[in-house]
Amino acid sequence: MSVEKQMSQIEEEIKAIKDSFEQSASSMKIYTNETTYQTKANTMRISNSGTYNPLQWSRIISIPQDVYGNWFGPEIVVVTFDCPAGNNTFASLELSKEPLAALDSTSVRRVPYAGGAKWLIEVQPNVDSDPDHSSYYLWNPTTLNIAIQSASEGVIGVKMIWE
Amino acid sequence: MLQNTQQRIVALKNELKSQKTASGLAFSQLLMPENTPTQSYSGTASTSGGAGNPVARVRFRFERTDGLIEPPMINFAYDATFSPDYKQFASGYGWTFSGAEDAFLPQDWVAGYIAELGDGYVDFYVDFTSDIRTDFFSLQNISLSTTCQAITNVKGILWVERII
Repeated sequence: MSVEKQMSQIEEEIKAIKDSFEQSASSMKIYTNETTYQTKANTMRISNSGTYNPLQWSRIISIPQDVYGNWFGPEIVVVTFDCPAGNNTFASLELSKEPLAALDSTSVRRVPYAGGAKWLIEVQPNVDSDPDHSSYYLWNPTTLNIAIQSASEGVIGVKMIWE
Repeated sequence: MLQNTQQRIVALKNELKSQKTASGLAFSQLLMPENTPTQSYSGTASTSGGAGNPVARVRFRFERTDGLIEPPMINFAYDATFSPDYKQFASGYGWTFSGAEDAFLPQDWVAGYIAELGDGYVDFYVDFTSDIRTDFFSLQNISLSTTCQAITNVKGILWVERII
């Protein structure tokens, strides 16, 4: 075989491998798993035995409470994604919730885990003003619509942090 | 001219060999990253200082060791705690709590984010925010700890350093 022919064959083979590599990377399969979850109330009883400066304790006194003495704290939800092979994986969690609240602050954080992925979601309590008792509130659950996109298959688990 | 042609053939064969090696490995490594180094930091921090500045900042730097300079793709996962926690602190001022999650830990006291992409490295910061200074108003010092896990398909080392 002539030298020119050999070089042409090698160049064609290199080009084909580059094309197949780029194609496989761009068409890598992404798995999407979705679930819906309703939060449970983080119901606390809070009291103070003396007098206090409300400016120093705004984080506590801003917690909404009902007329029965229940205080509704932040609701922390644990989401796990377990891969059958026990491997860790690239993964991202997408979240939407109902109802949306304009002044809400919801945070999502991935935490260390073995065998997949794990996130903590903090949601502020969903409360309405109590129509019968001024300055008090009524609690409602928040619905979380969770989607996990990952490079591996897996199973979603969702629970409140205290369960 | 013949020598030049032979050199070109050798060069092309070497490139062909490296492409065959790389294409088979890279795709499967994207699916199952085996490299998940983890580092932790524990220490104390003064809660005095200017408003707006974090009480403490810990840097986790992932440096790749495969000789390439592109910043690697990484998912960072982190945890952080500090002591006393808010329930312990408030209890000292006569507050009592009981309930399902009575030692609540609002997430906005700690923030984690990718701060810098560099030649062959990525920096992830964990800030203990200035809200600690405000809410724990009478404390002088606080104990803190943080753990970070880097999920990546690139060989490298995860370093940890306190920078504030």
